[in-house]
Amino acid sequence: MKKHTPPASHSVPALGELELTVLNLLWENPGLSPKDVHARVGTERGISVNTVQSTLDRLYKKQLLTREKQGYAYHYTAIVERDSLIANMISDVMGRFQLDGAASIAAFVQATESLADEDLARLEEEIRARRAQSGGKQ
Amino acid sequence: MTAMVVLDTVFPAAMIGWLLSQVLGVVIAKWLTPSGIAPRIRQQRILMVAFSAVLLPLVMIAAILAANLFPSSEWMASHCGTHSHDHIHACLNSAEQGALPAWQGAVALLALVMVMVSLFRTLLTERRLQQRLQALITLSNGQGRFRRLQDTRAVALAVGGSEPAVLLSSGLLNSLNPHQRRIVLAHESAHLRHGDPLRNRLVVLLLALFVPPLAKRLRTAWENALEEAADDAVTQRFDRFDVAETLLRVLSLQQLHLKGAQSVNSGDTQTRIQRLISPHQADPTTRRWFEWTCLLALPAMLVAVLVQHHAIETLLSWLGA
Repeated sequence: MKKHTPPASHSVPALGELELTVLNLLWENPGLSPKDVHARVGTERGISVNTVQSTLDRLYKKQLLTREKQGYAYHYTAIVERDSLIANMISDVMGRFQLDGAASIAAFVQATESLADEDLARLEEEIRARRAQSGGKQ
Repeated sequence: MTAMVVLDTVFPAAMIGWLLSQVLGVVIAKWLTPSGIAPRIRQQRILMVAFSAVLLPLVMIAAILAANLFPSSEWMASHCGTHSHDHIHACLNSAEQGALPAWQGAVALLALVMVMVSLFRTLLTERRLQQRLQALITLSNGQGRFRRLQDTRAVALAVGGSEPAVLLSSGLLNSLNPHQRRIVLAHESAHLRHGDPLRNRLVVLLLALFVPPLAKRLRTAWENALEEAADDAVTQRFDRFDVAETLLRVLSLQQLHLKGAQSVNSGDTQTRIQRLISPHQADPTTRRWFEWTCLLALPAMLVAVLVQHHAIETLLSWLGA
């Protein structure tokens, strides 16, 4: 079986809805053939085996799947773990896009914001002092 | 309309409108969005400026072309007849004379190309970002508006579009107490309620029409106003010191994952915390004089450019001399 290195965090490929559905399926059921995948996600969507085959091929080329020939058909397995893909995507969104500054992200706190420990401690102390001043709980 | 007409009248008019929007942007960024003004008003002002990059060029084009409604009038004929061909004639009758000096045309074209490149780049970045956010929604656990992402970092995001959702990482949820979790949820829900993800996208695209340093400044002011408005919404239901503590807690959690990563100074979150714990300084008496002035200025400018058509031509000729 030919092994591929999962994509680096800075180059998470764009994934369409069908590609994600196929990945979800292969995470739960590794080693499926295009026909198996079609039977589980293609039939209900009314798409052909060829479409499923192209999707699997794209995911393989994006280095997210590995494949092994069994008889006449390839059988596909996810090469990247679900949590790892999510982590890479979050890194991409909260890192690259947020640092770029030209993207519309509404985050509670910017993931790339840094603050020295002493500043954190100073802010904590300030909140405590202001709360005490206003007669609130400690 | 010939290509010469576009080059000599419509294009310069649009450029003047665009330059005016940049001036308006500088005024807004420098003087009219201080933290003392309520965040909702700051947002409206920045939104108006963002739209001005589209509206002002259109108004200028309309004003210049409106002069051609009177082609046979003495007012128009006397001017075009008495001035030399070197004088700029911003009207359709005289456009064929090639009034715009070559160097001005080149500068204007360069500016247009730069704006187009900036817009294209922003559109591409936005498309990629939305694809990834959509993928994160698909990969998240849960249904409905609140989704959980399996990740150790402290992440909370409001995502808009066809499927508005709040994405919260398990790292964040596991590190906060139930009261702090409710505060984060209330903050992100406020973003969804205000339609912030969509408005954010619109503003980011419109600000691509501004020169980069100004766009960056306006974008930062916009983001701060957006976050502060969401903070204010949360303080309607929760103690403001609790909200400040939650912000600080999330900021602290993020520091654990920043080691060695590229980062920016956290001035914005510090400002938000300071604002929450200080007695409220937002001026409730702020009148919307600026918004009304801008609204009235648009038709006034259209009339002024139409009436002062010849004076503007003379000024442009003088500037280009």
